[in-house]
Amino acid sequence: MNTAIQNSPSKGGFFPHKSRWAEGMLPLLLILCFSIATVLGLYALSFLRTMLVSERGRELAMNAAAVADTLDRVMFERFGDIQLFANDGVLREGTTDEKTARLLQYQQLYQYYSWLGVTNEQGELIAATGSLPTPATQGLTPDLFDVLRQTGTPHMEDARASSEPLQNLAVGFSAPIYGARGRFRGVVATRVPVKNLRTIFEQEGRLRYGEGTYDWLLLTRDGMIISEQHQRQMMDSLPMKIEVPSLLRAAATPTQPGFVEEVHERRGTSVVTGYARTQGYKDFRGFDWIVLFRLNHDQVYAPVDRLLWTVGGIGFLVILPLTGYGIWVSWRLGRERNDLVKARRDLEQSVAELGRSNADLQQFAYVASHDLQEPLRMVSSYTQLLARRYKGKLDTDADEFIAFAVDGATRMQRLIQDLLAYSRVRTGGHQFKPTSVDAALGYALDNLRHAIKESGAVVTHNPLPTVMGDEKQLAQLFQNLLSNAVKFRGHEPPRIHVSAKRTDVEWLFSVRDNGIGFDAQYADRIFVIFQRLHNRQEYPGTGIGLAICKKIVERHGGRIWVESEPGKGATFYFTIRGNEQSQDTTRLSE
Amino acid sequence: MTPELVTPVEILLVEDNPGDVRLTMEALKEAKVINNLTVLKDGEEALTYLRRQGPYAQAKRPHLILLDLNLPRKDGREVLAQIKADEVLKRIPVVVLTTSQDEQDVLKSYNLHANCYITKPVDLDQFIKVVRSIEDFWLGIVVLPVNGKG
Repeated sequence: MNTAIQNSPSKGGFFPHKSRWAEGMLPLLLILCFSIATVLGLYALSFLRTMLVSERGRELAMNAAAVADTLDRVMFERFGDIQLFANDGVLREGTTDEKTARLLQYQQLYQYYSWLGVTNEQGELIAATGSLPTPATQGLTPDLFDVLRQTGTPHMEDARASSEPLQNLAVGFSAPIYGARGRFRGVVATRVPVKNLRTIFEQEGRLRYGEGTYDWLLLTRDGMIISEQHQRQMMDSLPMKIEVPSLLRAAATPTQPGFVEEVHERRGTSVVTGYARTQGYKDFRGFDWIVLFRLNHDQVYAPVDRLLWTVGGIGFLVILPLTGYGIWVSWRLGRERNDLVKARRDLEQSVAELGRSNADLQQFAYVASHDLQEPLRMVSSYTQLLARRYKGKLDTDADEFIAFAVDGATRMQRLIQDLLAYSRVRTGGHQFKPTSVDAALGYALDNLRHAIKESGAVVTHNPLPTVMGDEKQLAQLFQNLLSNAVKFRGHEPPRIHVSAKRTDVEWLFSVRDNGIGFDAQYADRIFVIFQRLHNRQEYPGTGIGLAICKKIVERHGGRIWVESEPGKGATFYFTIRGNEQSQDTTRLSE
Repeated sequence: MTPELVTPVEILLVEDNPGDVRLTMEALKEAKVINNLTVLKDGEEALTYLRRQGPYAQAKRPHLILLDLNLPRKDGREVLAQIKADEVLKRIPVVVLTTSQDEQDVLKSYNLHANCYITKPVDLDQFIKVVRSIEDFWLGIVVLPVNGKG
């Protein structure tokens, strides 16, 4: 059994998988680029911030060191003052009034002092610039007097927590006074309020960041705040002790100023703190104070933040919409492409299904014809055998019945053979190649020469072109049309004319005859397989010819139709694609 | 040696369609040569017969085999292949007589060393003519080998 019907729709995809993958990834890639840019930006930002912190930190540390230095110098001078005062003749020998006048003179001269006083050898205050703000505080106490009398060396006293109001915190200097031959004559004492040191911070520690953005602290070694830029409102509150990393650092490294990032103990904000310690001056050992300069992180970051806002603003206004647009566009493209792919897949599937069902039909026709042949051969052979052996030996009825059976079987054979021929138009066709229509018509005329001669038909034709086609099938097409024209002739001998006309994209052929014609209402019906307009006795035939014609024309990508009127002949038209379109349209589904 | 007229010529017909069997028999009735037609209905049986196995131990060697291709149990193509692969049986001329017009069948049969391939004609007269021709040619004209032993 011939099963040459091929049906192999392309199974491969339309795009290589790789590129499809890449296209699908496009929005993701854009997002990735954006993310990378953002991460890099953030990294650069944090780098800049670190740079700024260390820059500002160094500045703050230098400031703290400068202030600590000045504090050292000022305190060293006061330490010198007290020794000078101890040797002052007036303070040693003068009258009480003279001593008081001299002390007032010193206070005015040196500015730092809030109080100066002199005792006699019993430790009784005999002259002073004023009364002490609180008894037993810096300046002069009985204990201190004893110490001075015994040691005979100048003494200094650090600020310390006491019941004094905060603004009265002070350091004290004192020294013994000796008369002639080393006789102990008393003690001179001074008192320097810490608040008088604020000018040092204001002059030495003036930073260029502007007021209010930074603050400073002066602490004793054990962390007691003895002065700060923003003095607390509660005037009489006790000095406060704090414990911050900068303090610990400063305590750990006595000689090295430095900076550290920490949290402000009161405000709770993050600050950069520069620290330094006072270290004394020459033989003066100093108070070992700690100076802190603190700048808010916000302030440190201000230049970067300004940059960030500028860049970020541009980014948000320009890059973000651009990226968003890019993502949107690529997403939409991807979706459109997916739709296209899907549509094309659907189409391909439809074509494949159509091809399959077409092929199934072809195969069905072919198998039916072949397998029908077998039993039919039996019927026809044995009816023929009956006819051979028993014709005239039975009665006339039997002869007639046998004749009908033989006729039926014979016709059935014709039908099946025609059906086979019909199904072979598709399955048995050849590849298209340039074909001379003239030659195809020639073959047809050759095959029909007996019929033409018998009927006295005259066949004429115009110049015919060369087209892409199957020569055998074109010959068959003409043969069927011409034999129809001869078969359905009128009383006059048939005159048949074949012509061709070029239109835009195709050739239009016509076969005109002068036969009996037919009613135009049957114009479509005659192309349907086994449809006949006449009975078999008048015009024999199965009604396959024009159905085959239609199939051949359709295989060549053309159309066929007919114009006719009863008694006025018929003109068959068919089209075939022009030379340049050399594709076998049916190949896809075959 | 051509078979002598007195000894009937042995013909083996392997065909499952009784209609065709009868037609062949009818056609051979009018044969010039006295013949002895053996009919087997499937390929398996045909091979058993040819190899003289089982019930066919006494079977005569046919001078000519008429083989249909579409057979039950064992297909005609296979029967042909096994006959032609057999040292003794391969000399027996095999005429493939079938309804198939398929080019593949024709090609395959000749590739399997069929001696000729004939498509059963649809028309009775034609069929009779064909059977006569086979008889004329293979039993009249052609020189066949003398049946070997075993």
